[in-house]
Amino acid sequence: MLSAPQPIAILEPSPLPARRPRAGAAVIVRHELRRLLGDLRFRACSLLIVTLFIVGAVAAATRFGGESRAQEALVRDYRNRITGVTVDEAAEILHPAFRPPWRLALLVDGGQTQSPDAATQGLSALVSPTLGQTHSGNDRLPVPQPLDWMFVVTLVLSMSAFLLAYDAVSGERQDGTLRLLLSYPVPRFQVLAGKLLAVWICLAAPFLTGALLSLLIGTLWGGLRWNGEDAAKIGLVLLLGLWAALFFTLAALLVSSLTRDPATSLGVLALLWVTAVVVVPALGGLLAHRLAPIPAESEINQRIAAIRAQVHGEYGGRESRWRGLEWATTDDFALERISARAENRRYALEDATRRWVLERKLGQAQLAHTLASASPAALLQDLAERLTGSGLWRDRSFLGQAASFRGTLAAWLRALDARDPRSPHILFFAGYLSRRPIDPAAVPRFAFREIPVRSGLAAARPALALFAFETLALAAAAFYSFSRYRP
Amino acid sequence: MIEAIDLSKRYPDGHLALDALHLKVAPGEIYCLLGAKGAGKTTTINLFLGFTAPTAGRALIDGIDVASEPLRAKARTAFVGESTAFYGRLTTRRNLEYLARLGGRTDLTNADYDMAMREVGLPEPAFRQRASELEPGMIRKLGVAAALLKEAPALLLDEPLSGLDPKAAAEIVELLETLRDRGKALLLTLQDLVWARQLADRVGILQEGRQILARSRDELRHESLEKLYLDAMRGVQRPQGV
Repeated sequence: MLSAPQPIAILEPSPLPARRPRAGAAVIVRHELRRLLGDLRFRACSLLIVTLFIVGAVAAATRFGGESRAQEALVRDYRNRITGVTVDEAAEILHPAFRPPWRLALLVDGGQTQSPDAATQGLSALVSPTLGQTHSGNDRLPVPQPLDWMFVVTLVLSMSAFLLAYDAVSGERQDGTLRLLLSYPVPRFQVLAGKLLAVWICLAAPFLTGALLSLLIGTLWGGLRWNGEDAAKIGLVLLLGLWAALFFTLAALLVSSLTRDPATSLGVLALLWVTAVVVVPALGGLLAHRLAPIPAESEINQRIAAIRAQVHGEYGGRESRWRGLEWATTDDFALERISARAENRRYALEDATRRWVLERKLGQAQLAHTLASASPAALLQDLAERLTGSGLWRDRSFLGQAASFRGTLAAWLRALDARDPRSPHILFFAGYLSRRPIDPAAVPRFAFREIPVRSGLAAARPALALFAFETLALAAAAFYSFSRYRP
Repeated sequence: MIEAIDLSKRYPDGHLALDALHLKVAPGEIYCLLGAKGAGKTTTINLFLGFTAPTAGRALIDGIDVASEPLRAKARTAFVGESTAFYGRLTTRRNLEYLARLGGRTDLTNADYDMAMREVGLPEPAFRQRASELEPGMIRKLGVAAALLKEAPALLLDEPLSGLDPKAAAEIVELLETLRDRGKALLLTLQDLVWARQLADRVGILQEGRQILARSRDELRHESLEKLYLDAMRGVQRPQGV
């Protein structure tokens, strides 16, 4: 007790020093970090985040290797098929265009493992194009959720932010420490900023560690090679993840500042999490299904039948008259030329229908994305896909590039055929083209061009603006709410 | 100096929690606010801490209006509350370090924290104990140690003796008397009339937000505080006093 009369400097009445901390937020950050780092919640969340990064990287690298090998085998098979063929045979061979395995799948898978990556097409109007996948799988298995970086960001980082920050305000109020804390001369915005920064650091540290490990696994074990564009995209996704961590922490702090006890905060945040991560994206898909339905198989068949009838009408039933050379040469292939025009016309109309169906499917998926973007989790996923050129953007780009590849092939074969004076030049029908052999090495190869980061940034601009607005609104609401919080 | 001038608080639901409170606590003085639960005692403390804004009047700490300059006022105020807790996972020393830094004291060492804890009578083993392991009386002493380290001239104590056993309460009372002797101005809310009589240089009784009676220590020599209090609660009219 105070019985010892020894004067102690710190306890002596002073002429009012009235100290105020120079960096109250820094003091709070240090304190909160000390508190959080010793907390089981932080350890559990960190372990989960880093583990998911590692597992996701191993899965993505393994898949990348498998898909690469499958495509290489198909390319070898194609090379064998075109060895020794003539120009007119080349017109009826299916030429593949493969979308290469997605190097950044461990960051943003964007459904690339589920969408078609092989478009095969012949030049002859009698050969139907196909769109499929190079790798096979068991379609009876449920589609696994890709464990990419965005999975960690949207599901685990959001949940971790909520778990670490739900009691930052309401918990201190319940514990009785908030009154003491707020009795010190630290502005409230500094108190909340300190808490925000501390939780953010606790999220950023495992996120960055996991991301680094993921890249190391991808490079050293998976053999992935990244170029400068990829590095820029990786940097952007990292920044997006850190931004998301800030956003989710702000959301948790806002809820904590609106409630009087931590149990209520946690309950509200759990509801918000389920709504944002599960309900809204699911509703987006359901609504898109209703608002932008894709044509049924019967409707497509009806359209195809109508096209055939239309062509039949346009050509008066002369669209399918193919004669042997001995008869055809008598009138310089007059009937065959009409038949070829009719078949090419039919092919063009059917191709337009195929493109229309594909466009409807992509449009429906895009609408589902847009509607789901009401949820910040889905908005982040959309942003990451745009920034990296993944997801629907890569699908659309592949289909466009594959379609124009047919034009490249056609120009190449047309040029070869034109050099042969004995060819009837009826493009592109086997038997009515040059019989000269082609040089397999000279056959144009499909080389997929990834979406450049500059285009990705341009495409992401509206979504970035929306997310920036949401973050600012959340920050304003959290700081305002805390400024009025009664301890 | 702690001063309330016509200090009033009406909540948005219309409830008048405090009605034109006048009080002045000079350095080296203890003022005890008495009253039943809901009388407005904690509201008064909250107004002096800037936790809520007055609807009329002013709360002043050393002449600084809390509502208009809350940070300057808080720099001159230390607070110990009934429900004040410390960070349970941290040791008492780390708690004091954190609070001292919040108060702008970066010049203190572990020896200083230990000295402060020794001063308020915390036993040595408690210095390294987690705050969650402390008895209520020790928690209250730790609160006083934190207040001392803040070097604030004004102390606000909300029910500092509530929930303490008589020995612990006596120790806290002794501490508060020492603080008064060191020139601090102390505003306490209390429900215990015995301790109020021993401690207070002045008492004020609040009822439904109104100060219905105020007495100095000299005046209380000739009157029974218990009787005054009970009469006030029963509504017996008396001169309001100082």
